[in-house]
Amino acid sequence: MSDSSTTQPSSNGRKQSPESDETQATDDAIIGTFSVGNRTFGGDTVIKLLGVSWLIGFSWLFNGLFGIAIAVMIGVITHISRPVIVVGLAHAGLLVLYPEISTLQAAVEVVVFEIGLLAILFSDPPVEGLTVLLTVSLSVAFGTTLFVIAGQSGYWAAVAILLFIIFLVAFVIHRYERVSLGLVETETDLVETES
Amino acid sequence: MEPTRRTVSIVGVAVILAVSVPLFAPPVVSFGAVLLFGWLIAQQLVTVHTFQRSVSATTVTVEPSVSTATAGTEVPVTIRVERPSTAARTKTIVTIPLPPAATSLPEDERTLTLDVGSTHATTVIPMSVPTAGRMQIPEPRWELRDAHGLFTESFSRGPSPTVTVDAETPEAIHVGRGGSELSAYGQHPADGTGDGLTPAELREYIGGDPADRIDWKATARLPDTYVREFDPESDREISLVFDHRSQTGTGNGTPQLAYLREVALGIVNNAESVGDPLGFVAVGDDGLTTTIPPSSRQVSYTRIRERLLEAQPTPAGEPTSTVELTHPEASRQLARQLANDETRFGTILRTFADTTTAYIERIEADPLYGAIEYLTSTTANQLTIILTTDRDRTELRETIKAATSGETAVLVFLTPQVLFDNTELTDIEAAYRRYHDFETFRQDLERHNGVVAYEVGPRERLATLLSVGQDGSVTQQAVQRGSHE
Repeated sequence: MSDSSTTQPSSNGRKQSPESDETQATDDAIIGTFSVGNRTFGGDTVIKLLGVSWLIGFSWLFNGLFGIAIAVMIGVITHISRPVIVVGLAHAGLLVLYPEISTLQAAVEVVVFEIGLLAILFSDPPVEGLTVLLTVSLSVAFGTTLFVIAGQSGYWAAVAILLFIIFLVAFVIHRYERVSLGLVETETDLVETES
Repeated sequence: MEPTRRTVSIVGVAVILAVSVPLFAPPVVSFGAVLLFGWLIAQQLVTVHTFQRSVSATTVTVEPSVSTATAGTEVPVTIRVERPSTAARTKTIVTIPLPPAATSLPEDERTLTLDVGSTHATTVIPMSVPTAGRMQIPEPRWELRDAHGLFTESFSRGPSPTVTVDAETPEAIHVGRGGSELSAYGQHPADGTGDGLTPAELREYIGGDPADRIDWKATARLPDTYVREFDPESDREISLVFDHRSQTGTGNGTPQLAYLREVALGIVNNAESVGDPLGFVAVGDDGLTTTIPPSSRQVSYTRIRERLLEAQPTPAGEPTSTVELTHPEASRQLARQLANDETRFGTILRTFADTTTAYIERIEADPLYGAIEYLTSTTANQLTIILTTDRDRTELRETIKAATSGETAVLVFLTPQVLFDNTELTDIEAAYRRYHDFETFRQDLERHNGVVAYEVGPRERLATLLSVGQDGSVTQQAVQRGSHE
């Protein structure tokens, strides 16, 4: 035991405020800050603005004023809610714009909208290249699985199988995390504890 | 890894979108579902990576300012959490649980929080332990949260330092016979100095010395008869019977238990230094609370010391709970297991485990006498040392009679009630008479074969009593005379 405390007890012997270095860990972050004149914007704000602008622009191009109205609503929700919720609600808006995807043009337009929504999704800091790469890869994999199974066995089966796969993957990652952090008692641990 | 409410709500939105696909036919909503699920799984993978990095790079230190403290004093404990900036992507909350016996502190005063980006934090908590014993500070409890607030992980890990809390020791303790102080207690009379092999010294012959002890060569050389003494080589088995019944809790300031404990610790130290196998029996109001068989192993002496330091007067009367812990180790184990449990149930159960008295063997009639019976039936000890009060003299007399029934020598250390009364010595002559009465009782005990009885108490109070006795109608000489009878 040593008396090597870096702070001494206060006069009443109670809690000291923790010291901290506010060193923002942004090693792997793909966005920084941007300055326009005297104003500085966070990278997340810029990406969010780009995503909303993308949606408004292409909505106007593909669907006219009605499209702009939907895109502006999404923009307003983006301002007051978290990006991940916006993505969920925006697809309800897309359902209004594209009740059917029967043509190649409609499919392309939906994909273009998805790019804008991806930008909004990744505006939630901290934004990392690894997360973006994994999200896109996993989304493509899940989407492919869904449509392949839907083509063979119908949508209900496809959705059920997709949900099963996703929850299985999540559980495997959870168990891997517990084991890698040494939080799972092995048989050897149990024997040592008993002895 | 546990999902937060935010994660659950996102999963809910994604599931609704996924289920909407077959309901509304168009697959546009399926894009939303796979995007949200893809993002969540990606976040989970990245979070695992950041948790691993954070745990491996973060250092938690818990440093009590001292390793030994006195019961009731505050021990500042410094807690420091450090990590490099590269591992600062998680919010890390470290809480230090206190030992079960420590005075409770609000959790927020024992918690250090490193937000995302923060690299170190330090605080000092004042830990106070009102009871003696070996206090192990439980492992720090960690809680990790990812930067998006999607997943958490919690576990206990890290240093678990120990602080030995000594009981408040009496400042001036008297151990002796008939008012005369014994220079060193715990050095039991191992048949004087005669049973060893190493010659020690010559001394003049005193009537009663065995003839085979006479050093004939020295006697021929010198004008008087001399006997040769030898260094004692003792490996006699000793049993320590320690009374911590409710009656030992009384005292004017410092309870009788503290004095008895001090003597007992001295005996343990002495036994350890000469390698005597030492056993231990602790006696509570309703039976035996601890039994340790005689052993000369280091771990055994340490255990006895720990039990002595932990000993508190047992509650008298009916138990406060109908639930009984059948073994003291069970209650200690339960307290250890619940050390990190901050739930209401855990707190209540821990308090119960800390405060309840567990008995190894319940003895309804006379627990001190029962302790001797237990020793007689389980060990073949050669010396029994009893530390108790003189409160119930009839019981004590019977106990000592039972203890001396074999070849066993008996040392008795008694705390006279008169030296521990809560009142001041206003009627000094009455007090002196009570002391004289005790002295008569002590001498009466020594009439049993192989019994030596000592008094233990506050030196100052005894000196006051004896000084008045010298001037008053009852003199100390009377007591001294009595002690030589």
